[in-house]
Amino acid sequence: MIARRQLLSAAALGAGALFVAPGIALATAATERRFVFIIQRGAADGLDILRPTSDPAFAPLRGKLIGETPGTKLDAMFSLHPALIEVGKMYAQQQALFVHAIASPYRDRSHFDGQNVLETGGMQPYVVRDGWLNRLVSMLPRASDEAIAIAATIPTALRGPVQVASYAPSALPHAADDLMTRVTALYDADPQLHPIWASALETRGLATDVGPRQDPASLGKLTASFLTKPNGPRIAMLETLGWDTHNAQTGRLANQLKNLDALLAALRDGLGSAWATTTVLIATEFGRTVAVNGTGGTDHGTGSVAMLVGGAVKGGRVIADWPGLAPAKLYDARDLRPTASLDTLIAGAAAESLGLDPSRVAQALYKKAGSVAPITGLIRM
Amino acid sequence: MELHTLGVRSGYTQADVTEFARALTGWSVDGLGAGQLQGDPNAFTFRPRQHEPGTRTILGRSYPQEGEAQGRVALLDFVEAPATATHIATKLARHFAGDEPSPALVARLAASFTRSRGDLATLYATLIASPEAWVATPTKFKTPWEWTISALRGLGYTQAGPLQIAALQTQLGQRVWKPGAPAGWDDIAPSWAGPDALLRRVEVAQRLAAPLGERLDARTLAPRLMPGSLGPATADQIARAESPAGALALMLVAPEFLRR
Repeated sequence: MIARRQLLSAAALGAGALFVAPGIALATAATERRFVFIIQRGAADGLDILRPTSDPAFAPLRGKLIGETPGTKLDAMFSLHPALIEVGKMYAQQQALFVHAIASPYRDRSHFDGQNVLETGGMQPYVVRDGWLNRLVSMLPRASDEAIAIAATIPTALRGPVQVASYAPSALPHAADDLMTRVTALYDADPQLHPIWASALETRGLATDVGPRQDPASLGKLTASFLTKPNGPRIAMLETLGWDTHNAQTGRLANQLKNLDALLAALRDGLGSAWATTTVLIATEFGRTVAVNGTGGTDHGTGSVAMLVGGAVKGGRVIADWPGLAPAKLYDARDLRPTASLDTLIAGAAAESLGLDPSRVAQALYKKAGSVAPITGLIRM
Repeated sequence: MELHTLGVRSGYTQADVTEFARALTGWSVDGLGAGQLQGDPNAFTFRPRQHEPGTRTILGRSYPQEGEAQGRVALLDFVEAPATATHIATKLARHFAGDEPSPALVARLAASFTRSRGDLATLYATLIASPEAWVATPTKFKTPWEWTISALRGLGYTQAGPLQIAALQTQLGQRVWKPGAPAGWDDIAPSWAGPDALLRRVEVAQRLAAPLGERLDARTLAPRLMPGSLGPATADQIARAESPAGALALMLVAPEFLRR
């Protein structure tokens, strides 16, 4: 498997070199582009985030949950959850795009299996060992130190042969320089710890001017500070938790979305002029049931919504082959039927965001090479 | 079914999950809920009025039992399933003999599980008797929790005192009681050995060691805490540290101490 992967990434790099036609400085252009992946762990309810308010079946099913606040009307079918104020502004400025009724290949109801499929890019959980984001990094001209996880440990999507950085805000006093030097010597001969430590030291050097705060706006600002360093990473991944709204969804989801909104706004503001070449992809492992359960929440489902936001996004639109919410149209008689593939969205968005060839990215990111036809035309190139 | 018995992808369907859930209706915790304040919150209780009556079909088998017995009989059948033996054996082997335990060890533990009909004490005896559990070099990267506890023990802490353990664990990447998934904490190194997490351990080690430099000598403590595994390079670094507290901190983040 490793040999095949190396072959793939070598082939991709070779192709990249061929793409550098005389007069086009692709390497420089690539570093100006930024790609951020935000995973929503816990199965975010796409039907509540981007509400199909004109579907006749929606109000009877979900009226109790949304109450008097149907949200911002985006087009003839959909309204955006009222907590997503900044995202709504981005949509109005054509910097936000939604793909509805979307799902990964996973069709069961386990969070961790679903997240594994989403993050590895496999057809089944635990079949692929490394993450699609790590494979994406390997396709960039400067593969090492090109990506950072804003987390204490590396999430599955970023795990793999390419060394990536990780950083989480810390309230601890920094270790003395002398101790740091001696620890470096201590790990010198350890094949597992040496590369991890080297990455930690480098990232620590980049993060000297940021505070220890962990609120959403500070995380957005922190991420932006990494992405705007002259030689810093150009790809980042953030994890958001708490989307598993089995009960009291109305208040909990509003709070979740308020946090996401604050994070995205801080990222936009922190990136400044770099926002224009940035794409942020937000996705979850699966959706939630169409019907509301007995505790004011929803249960594990299938289809959900994915978002692309950023100055680089050809936004202001919702992409959906809407399956409808009538009983006969549901998946398994209970879920939003997926009509779009998250794999094809990720492959297309990631490739176009970084100026790479979509079909090559689709091949490198998804094992079933060839059968993933990436969605294109998502990003301003 | 997924976490504690058969394991994922062992052949059951969503229908089996919901049928088993119906069999378990009425299973509860004593002293839970309105008007239940008299009960013992540590005890199991069965509430017959909350049990859904009727025969259940789980994994193709029919369960006509009534009340609490229905769930119990199904659980006993799960214990007999080969998938459960392999699942439990793999978890146990991975925890004590490294992230990628030898198939021979897993097979031995699974056989022990089947033979003893799920008696965990028998499995532990099999594990203790297995050479794979006794290799001299530590193979398992400690979780933040294991590392904190072993560091505190190693330094002779018996009380947390002013240490804010929960905040500490959050900084180390393992929030207390919040594994993030119902499966609990991951039991493999890639989940814990990240650059940031490693940096936090060094910071915490410095903080734990700081008040103890005058009382503890890492040069004599290290061989006692890491008998058989302390390498000469680490011993040398500890001996050459700038201060006694610095030596203690180095000991806590030594490769041999980060693993068990």
